[in-house]
Amino acid sequence: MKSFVISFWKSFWEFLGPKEFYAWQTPLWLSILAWGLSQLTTNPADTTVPVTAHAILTSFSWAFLVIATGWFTTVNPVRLLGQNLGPWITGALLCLFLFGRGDAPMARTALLTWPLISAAIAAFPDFFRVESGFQVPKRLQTRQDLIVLALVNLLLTSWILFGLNIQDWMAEYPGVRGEQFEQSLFVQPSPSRTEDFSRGTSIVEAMRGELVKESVGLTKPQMERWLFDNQRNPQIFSDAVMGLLAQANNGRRLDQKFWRLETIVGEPEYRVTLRAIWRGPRPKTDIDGHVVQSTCQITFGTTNLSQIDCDEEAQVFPAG
Amino acid sequence: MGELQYLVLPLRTFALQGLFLLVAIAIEAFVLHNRLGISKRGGVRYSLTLNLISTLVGWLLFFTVEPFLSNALQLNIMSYIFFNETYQLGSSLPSLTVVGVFLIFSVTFFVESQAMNLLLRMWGTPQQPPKYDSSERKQNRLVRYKSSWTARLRSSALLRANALSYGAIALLLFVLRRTTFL
Repeated sequence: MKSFVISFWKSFWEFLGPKEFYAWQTPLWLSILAWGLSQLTTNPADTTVPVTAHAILTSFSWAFLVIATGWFTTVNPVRLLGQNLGPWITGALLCLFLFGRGDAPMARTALLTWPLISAAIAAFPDFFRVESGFQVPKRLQTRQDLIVLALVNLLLTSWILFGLNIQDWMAEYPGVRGEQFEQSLFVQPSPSRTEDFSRGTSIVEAMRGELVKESVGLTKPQMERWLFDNQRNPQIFSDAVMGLLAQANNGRRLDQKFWRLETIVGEPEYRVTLRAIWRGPRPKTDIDGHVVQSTCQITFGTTNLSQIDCDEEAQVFPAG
Repeated sequence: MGELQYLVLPLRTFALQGLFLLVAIAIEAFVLHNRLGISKRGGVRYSLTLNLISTLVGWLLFFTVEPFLSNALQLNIMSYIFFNETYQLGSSLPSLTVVGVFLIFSVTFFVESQAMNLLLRMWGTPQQPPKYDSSERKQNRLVRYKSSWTARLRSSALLRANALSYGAIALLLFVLRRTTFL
């Protein structure tokens, strides 16, 4: 056991121990040193000064870590189809350092700038020589490669932007998530994905809440009158439900105009089926999209006042 | 992480665009090599750069124009991207497709020919400045005629290359629409 620990430590130190000053291990150890020092300083929750020693040391630690990673991946390239992937790893770390502290918009910035920053890192050796400093590469081949590198990374940025656009669409039209994307030439759902009916479910729940609110305390004739009116003019009920939903979403109506709400009154007296039908973009436009429904039973006890009893779970019918 | 389960990535976009780019680059490199006498390696280099530039211009146009489109068109684009199906477009679909394909083709050709001029100026062998010798004035005219002729040759080669690659991509799309393995 002891010999194992010793041999492990030896090989570990052989790998990470600094053999000379000008090597990738140096920035790594500087990074570790800066991190260790930052642990000694306090990290006040709310700072009164703009810059704290802790923040400075943490930044130094990050910067040295990025340099060490860049150096290591240059010395030991990870190759895919002959292209060293090192700059993209370093770029990811650098983006994490620059934008990783913020909220969602910063995450977007990090994702979008990742290929560009990585391309700049990959092009850096062509622009910089230790002996002569910065210079524009003279060789035609190098220039051509640099242009292709820039173009490919701009294409990657466009792809990432397109992916973000798709996420925006799904947030704006949540009903789309209840349909299948199998036919698409553009998007690929993650392997574990099943349709997400949460939007339809929340609409049916709002319908249920509105029905309960409307019917409470009505006598039998009043209830029948309400149901009859609702059959003749269902728009009032729909508008009330949609207003409630918009309130719940900070006034945003989202994909509401693509939902058709139905109230079906049936036997035994009165079994009310609340139904939300997706009529928006869907794979087969000649048939309806997915349907979410819930049933309520209205009874009139001995008091002759309406009592309403609804299903807990909404039923879901996928399209097709 | 409920959100992550419904994460939808445009992976098929990446795969298809990569495939189409490969096909277009191979075909256009072959045509440029054959028609313009560029070396094989050079043909690949030129067609790679040209296709990347035109693809990028296409994305740029999409991202800038899309927010200003009418709501109905936006919905149709979204529906096409998610479900490969237009939304309530009906009878205007064929004419819109024809106009769209024509526009895309002409924009691609315009961008690629401009980019080709630029690349030739940047990468091509530097041309000797014409000597304005009085005795060679006649020849000078010939040189100018010849240079206009090479420009025309270049355009026609590029047009042919684009037409061929677009045909191949259209064929691929036709096959892909009919398959279910994707």
